[in-house]
Amino acid sequence: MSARKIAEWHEAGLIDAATRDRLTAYEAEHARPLLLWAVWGIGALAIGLGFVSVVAANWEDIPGLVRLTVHLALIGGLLGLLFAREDRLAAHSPWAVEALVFVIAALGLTFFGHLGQVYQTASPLWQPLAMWLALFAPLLLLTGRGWPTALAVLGGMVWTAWEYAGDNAPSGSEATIAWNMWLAFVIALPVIAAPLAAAMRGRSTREDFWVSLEQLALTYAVAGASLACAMASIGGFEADPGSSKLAAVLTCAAMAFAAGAGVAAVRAGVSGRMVGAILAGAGAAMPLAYAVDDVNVAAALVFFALWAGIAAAALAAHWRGVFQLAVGVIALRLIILSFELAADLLMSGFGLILSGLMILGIGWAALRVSRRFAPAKGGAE
Amino acid sequence: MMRYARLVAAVLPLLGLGVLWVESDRTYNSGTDWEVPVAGYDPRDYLRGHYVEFSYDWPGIKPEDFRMEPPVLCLAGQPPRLDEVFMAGGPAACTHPLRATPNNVYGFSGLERGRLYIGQKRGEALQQQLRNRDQRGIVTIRQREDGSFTPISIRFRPLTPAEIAERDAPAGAAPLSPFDPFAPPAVMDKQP
Repeated sequence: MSARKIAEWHEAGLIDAATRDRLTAYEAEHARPLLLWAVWGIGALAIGLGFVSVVAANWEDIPGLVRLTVHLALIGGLLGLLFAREDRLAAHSPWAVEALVFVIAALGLTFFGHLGQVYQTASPLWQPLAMWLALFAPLLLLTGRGWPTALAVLGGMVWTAWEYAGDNAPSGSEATIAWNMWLAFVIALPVIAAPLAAAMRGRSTREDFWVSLEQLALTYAVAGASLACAMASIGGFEADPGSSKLAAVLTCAAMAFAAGAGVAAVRAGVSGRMVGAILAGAGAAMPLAYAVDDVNVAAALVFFALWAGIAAAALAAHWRGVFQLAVGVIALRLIILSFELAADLLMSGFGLILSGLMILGIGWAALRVSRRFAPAKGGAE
Repeated sequence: MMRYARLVAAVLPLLGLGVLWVESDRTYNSGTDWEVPVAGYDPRDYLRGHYVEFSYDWPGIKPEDFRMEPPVLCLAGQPPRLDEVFMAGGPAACTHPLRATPNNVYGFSGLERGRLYIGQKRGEALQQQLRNRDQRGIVTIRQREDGSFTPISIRFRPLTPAEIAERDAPAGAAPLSPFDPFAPPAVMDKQP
C-alpha cells in the first residue's frame, strides 16, 4: 500500500525521485508482513494444539516413565537453548527470552504434578511449591526480562507462603506468640523482594524485570495492609487472649518497615523514597487496623489514611496511574462506608435517594480530583 | 563469574528435578503391599479432579480410635492379605507400622482417608463401579518400614453373602456372625 502511495506522491510532484527511492527502500526494510505472520501463527497454533490434544487423548496409555523422560528432556533442552543462546536471543527480542524462561519455569512446576500422577505422591501443596521456588528462582532472577517472570517469582513466593501458613495455622487456643510470629514472617517475606529489586534495577541490564518485581512487592504490601483494614472493618481480629495475633501483626509491620527503609536506602531519588514511604505506611496501617478492630468508622479512617498517603506519594513522584487508582479506591471505600453506616436509611425511600445522591457526589468529586490534580502523563515509576 | 552463576542457575533445576524423580521412584518401588478394604465414598466428592478419594476400612479399628494422637497402626497378616489391624499404644514392637505424618496431603487424617490418582478415562469407569452396591473396593497400599505408605491401585470384588446380608439388614439389627462386628457397612451409599 505504501509503495503505491509513494508512487502517487511522486507523480503528483510532491516528492522527487531520490526521495521516492529512499522512502521505498525504508518501507521495504521496515515492512511488517502481518498477513504472512498471521498465516504462520495460525499454522503453528494449529500444529501445537493438535499435538497437545493427541498427547492428552493418549495420556494414560503412555507409560509414566516415557512421559516423565520426555517432560524432563523438554526442560533440559530448553534450558540448554537458554544457556547457549540467551544473549543472541535477547539481542533479537527480549520477549523471546522472557517467553522461554517463563515456559521453562511453568514446565518445571508441572513436573511436580506429573511426578505425583506417576508415583502417587501426596504432600501438602507448599512443599512442591517451595521446592520449585528453590530450584527455579535463581534462573528467573538471573534471566527474567519482563513482568511475566517477575510475576512468577513474586507469585510463587506469595503462593508458597500462604499455602504454608494455611497448612500450619494453629487453631484458636493453640496459638503461641512465637509460632504466629514465624507464620507472619513467612507471609511477609515476599515484601523483601522490593529492596532487592530496588538495589538491582540500577545495576542490571534487565531493568524492566527488576522494576516489575519491585512494583509487585509493593503491591503485595499495600494489598496486605488493605486486607488488614478490611478485616478490622468486619471485626476479623476478634478475641486475642494471648496477644499472639498482635505479635503477628507487629511482625508484618516490622517487615514492611524494614523493606521500606531498604528501598529508600538503596534507591536514591524521589521515586525510591516514595516507594519506601508507601511500604512504611503499609506497615503502620497494620497495627492501627488491629487497634481499631470492629470499630467501623475508625477502620475506614485507617484505610483512607493508607490510600491518601499513597496518593500523596504518587503526586510527589509523578505517578499518574497510581494517583488515579488511589483516588478511585478511596471513592469506592467511601461508597461502601456510606452503605455500612446507612444500613437503616436504605430501608426508606428517602434514605435510598440520599444514598444515591451521595454516591453520585463521591463519584463526581473523585473524577474531578483525579483529573485536576493528577500528575501529567509521562511520569514513570 | 556471571557465566558460572548462569550455568548453575540452568543446571540446578534439571539436577533438582532429576534427584526428586529418582527419590520418588525409589520410594514408590520399595515396601510391602497390603490389600485394604475401603469404604465411605462420598459421591459428591470422590472424584476431585482425577483422584478417587476413599476412607480406609481397617478391620478391627473404629473411627473413634483415631482420636488419640499420634495414631500408629500395626498391620498383621500374610502380605498382601490383611488379617488384623491394631493400634500401637506407644512405641510398641511393630513389624508393619503405619504412621500419619503432617507431610501427607491429609495431614494427621492420612490413616483415615486416602486418595489415588487415576486417569480421566478410568475415572468415569470407576465412578460406575463405586456406585455399584454389590461390590467392595480394595486398595493396595505399599507400606514401608518407617511407617510411610502409598496407595498403589484400586480394584473391586463382589460382596460375600455375609456382607450382602449385613448390608441389607434393617437398621439397628445385630450384625450377622461371623461377619466382623466392627466394620462399617460395606459400601456406604450417600446418594440422595
